[in-house]
Amino acid sequence: MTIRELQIINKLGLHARAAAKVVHTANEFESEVFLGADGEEVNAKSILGLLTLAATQGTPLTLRVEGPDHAEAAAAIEALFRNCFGEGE
Amino acid sequence: MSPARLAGLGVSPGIAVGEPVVQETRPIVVLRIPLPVAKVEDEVKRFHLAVEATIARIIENRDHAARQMGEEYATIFEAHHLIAADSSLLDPVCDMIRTKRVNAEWAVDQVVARLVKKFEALPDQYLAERKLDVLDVSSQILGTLHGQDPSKLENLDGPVILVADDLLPSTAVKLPLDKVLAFVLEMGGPTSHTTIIARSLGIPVIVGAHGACEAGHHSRRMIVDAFEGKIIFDPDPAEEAEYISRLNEHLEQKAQLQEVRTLPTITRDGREVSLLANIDLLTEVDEAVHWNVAGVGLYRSEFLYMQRSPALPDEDDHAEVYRNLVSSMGGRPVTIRTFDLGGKKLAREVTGSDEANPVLGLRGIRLCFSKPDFFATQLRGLLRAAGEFPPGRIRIMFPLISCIEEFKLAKLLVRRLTDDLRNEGYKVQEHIPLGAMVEVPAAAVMAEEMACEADFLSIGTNDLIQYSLAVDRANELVADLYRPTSPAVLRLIAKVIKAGADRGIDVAMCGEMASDPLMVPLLLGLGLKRFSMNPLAVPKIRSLIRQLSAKETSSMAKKALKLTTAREVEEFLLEKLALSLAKIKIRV
Repeated sequence: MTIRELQIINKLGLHARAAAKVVHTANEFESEVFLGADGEEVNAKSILGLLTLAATQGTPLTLRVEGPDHAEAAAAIEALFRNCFGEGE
Repeated sequence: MSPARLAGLGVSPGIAVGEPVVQETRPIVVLRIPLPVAKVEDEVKRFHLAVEATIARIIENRDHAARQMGEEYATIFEAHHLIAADSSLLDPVCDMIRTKRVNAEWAVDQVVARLVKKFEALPDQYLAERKLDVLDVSSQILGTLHGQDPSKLENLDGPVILVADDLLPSTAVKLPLDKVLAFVLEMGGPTSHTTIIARSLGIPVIVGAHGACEAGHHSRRMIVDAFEGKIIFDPDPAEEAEYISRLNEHLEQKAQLQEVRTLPTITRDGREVSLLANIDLLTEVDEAVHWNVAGVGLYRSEFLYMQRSPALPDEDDHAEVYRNLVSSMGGRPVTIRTFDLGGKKLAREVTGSDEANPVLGLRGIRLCFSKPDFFATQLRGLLRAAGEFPPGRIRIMFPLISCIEEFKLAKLLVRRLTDDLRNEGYKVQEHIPLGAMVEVPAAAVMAEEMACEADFLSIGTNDLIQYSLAVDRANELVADLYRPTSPAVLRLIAKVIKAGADRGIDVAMCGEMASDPLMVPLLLGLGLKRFSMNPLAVPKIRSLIRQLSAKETSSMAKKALKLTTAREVEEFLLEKLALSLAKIKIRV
């Protein structure tokens, strides 16, 4: 299992397009991927879950990955957050 | 009978005159049907088939949108695809079919209602509006379960104005949009996907027009003015004629402005001018790039503080934001102004005290110096970001410089921090361009000396005018004394431009005056070559400059400088420029 602390740095927060990218990335892995904020944890393979997390810019998130490829999955998700979901802001 | 009028919120600008077509989405009535145990798994299978068919349809929509509007807009449907395949939707529906032994429609309806409630409770308006996407997907699933074909609007005989209670993006994208003159919606918001699609195609949209369907049913013609949020049903002929001429004028101007998008900003007699963007938020960068600006003339970094308030951005935050800004400007230089808080902006939060006269108090560079840690954090972020790019991409500008010593001190600080960073192993620019905002009359009077110290100057006219004339523009009692055409202000500006030219350094203007169609020719005549403005003003000012002759404006400016009152200057400019302004349809 991998646990990481992430932060949303892009202006719009975890909006629909960003959430879609998280789902796509998480779906590439066998592991189960969860994101938590404010004591609520959602399945990162669920766009509805991610959106209702309502994570705005600056929200600290906890990433939890469980499964055979947890390290790779965590690294991929972390990279996505770090480069602002590839949207340049 | 006088024509019926409604008001709404214009969310995509434009004017349309035409025939209304009303489309009301009648919700499918969902009944609860209990199932025998033996039928339950068949029902789950029926649900899965409907979901698969819906996904196939969404992919079709996606491709359609990608072809019609570009890949960017197709992503809306990618989100729909993910929603339709989302376990947070599918699992509870299957659970409910199995445990409650009910029909799939009922289960979908119940689960979606719960999801929608969850979205509605979100504090962020953008996210709350995403419930529309959930409803869009679920209504498609329900439609498929009902064996419905949701394509009745696909064969519209245009051109029409589409009036609807609500319009799902999946419906909007299937419309023959070239036949739609405008949308009038009873519901919807500024960030709904239908609005975004319409805006991208330049179709006017008014939302929140309650009663529009009812009125549309009884009308043969209607006028939509999405600039003003006005809707007029069955207008009288005179009013219709008036709107048609406004529409034509608008279309002509729009086409003309689009034309200058990639044209150089150059006068008739060949003087090149740089139009730069004033940027508050990174989201404005796209607009700036679209209009092909020569760079960012003013990035107001204080917005970084306001957005994060009460938390303060750290060094990494600063570096990241500036890095993104420079990257998205694609190699064009970016001038970043260090935080200009104080005055009226956030004064108390930052300084921790009330000032009797904040505009003359601890603000601009003074505030920067009084909070050395605060200032060093920003400068280090700036210097680190600058080190990652070729020289000249990032230029640093200090606000509210009132004397030479302040600028020298700021320079010294930058040099010291650059040394620190180099010692810490960061790549740094050895000579990062440093500039002063000239917005205090004292700095303008000392322009020659400022020009010797600084790598560039930028005139901030809003403050320069208020300080020169001792007028607070927001104070109604004296607002009419705030005169940009004041000869005193013009002479100060002329002095700064000349000082820059004599020393061979850049002088820009980043105040409102730089995008005022009446003032731009005068500034051009005074020799100003760099105009920084809201990106939206760029096309208008570029068209204007392309109408002008540098030689003519120069002799005009010489005469204007000899005038003795603001009124004389204004009348003189209006008279001289009437022709040029009329050509590009600017009303002053």
